[in-house]
Amino acid sequence: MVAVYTLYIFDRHCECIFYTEWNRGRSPLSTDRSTAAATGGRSEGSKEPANTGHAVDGTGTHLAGDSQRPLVWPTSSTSTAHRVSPESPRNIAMEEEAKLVYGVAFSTRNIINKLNSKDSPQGGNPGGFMSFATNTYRLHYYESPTGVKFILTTDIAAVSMQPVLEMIYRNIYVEYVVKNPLFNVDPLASSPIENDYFRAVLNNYIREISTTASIA
Amino acid sequence: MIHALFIINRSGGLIYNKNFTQHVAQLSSNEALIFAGTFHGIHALASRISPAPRRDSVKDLGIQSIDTKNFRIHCYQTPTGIKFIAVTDLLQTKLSSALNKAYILYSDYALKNPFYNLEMPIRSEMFDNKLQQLVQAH
Repeated sequence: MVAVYTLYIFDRHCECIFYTEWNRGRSPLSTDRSTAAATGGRSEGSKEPANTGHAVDGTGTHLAGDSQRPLVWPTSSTSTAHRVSPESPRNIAMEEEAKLVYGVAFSTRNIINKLNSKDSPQGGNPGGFMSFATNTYRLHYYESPTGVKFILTTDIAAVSMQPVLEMIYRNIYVEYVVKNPLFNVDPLASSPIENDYFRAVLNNYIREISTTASIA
Repeated sequence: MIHALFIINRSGGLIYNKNFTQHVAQLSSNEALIFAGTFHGIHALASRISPAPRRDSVKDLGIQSIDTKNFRIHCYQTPTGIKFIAVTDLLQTKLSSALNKAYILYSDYALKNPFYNLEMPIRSEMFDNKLQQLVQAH
């Protein structure tokens, strides 16, 4: 039984192109959660209940999505109602956190490369950074040959998730994102993954490994 | 087998480093300082980004070990904020007792030395020798 908390995918431009979470409590960085909930509640209260149709539906789901944390980022392209505005406090915390996660993983990789061999080439993961552990979680790192970085956080019991991350890269990311004909091939711009099939397959796979004990 | 040992003071400065084997690269003094500063930073950040559900009694204490292809890094932080970092082979799963002993040596041979300046690099032959013995015992 492995508790998987979050998955981040970063492209070559250090941009977070995908984020999703499972079994996760409150975000450590969202300090203004209660105020956001309070303002949300107030604006909902000021709305007339008899207000017609679409707008109310849209706002309703939006607020519901806000008071709980969004489970994935970017949000699904088909449901525009869930598209949280970039100014919302929750989203900012998520992006700030993604930057911190990237910074920590990137710096760790670099000092390990240095320690591994003095004249290691710039970039890549020749030192073989796999994971680090604190007393509350473990962060696993996998870098594809093309420089896409997968960062998975789990509880500390999951010692090696390298095969899992490689599987996500090889059989889910490549198959459902890269082979998609609508995949953004522009090497200079990064685009978030807004692909429902990718998300569904990924969710199934994570559910599968978090219920089988064999991986740990 | 312990390949190398680093001691970092409260503010992220390197106060001791020594390689015991040739297995990891011998860092120049400049690179060792960068290593210490970077480790200090990621140690502090890692405790801030903990995704684990929060329990009031459990606080994240920062990085305790890093696994890589060729070696493993262990970190022990004392209550006063000094970090003892050991680079070992992959067979060492738990090194807290050895790092604890290194902390005792530090207290005995560096702190109790009246000529030792706090937070400054440790230059003591006695400390070197005792540490060497400790590493050989592991």
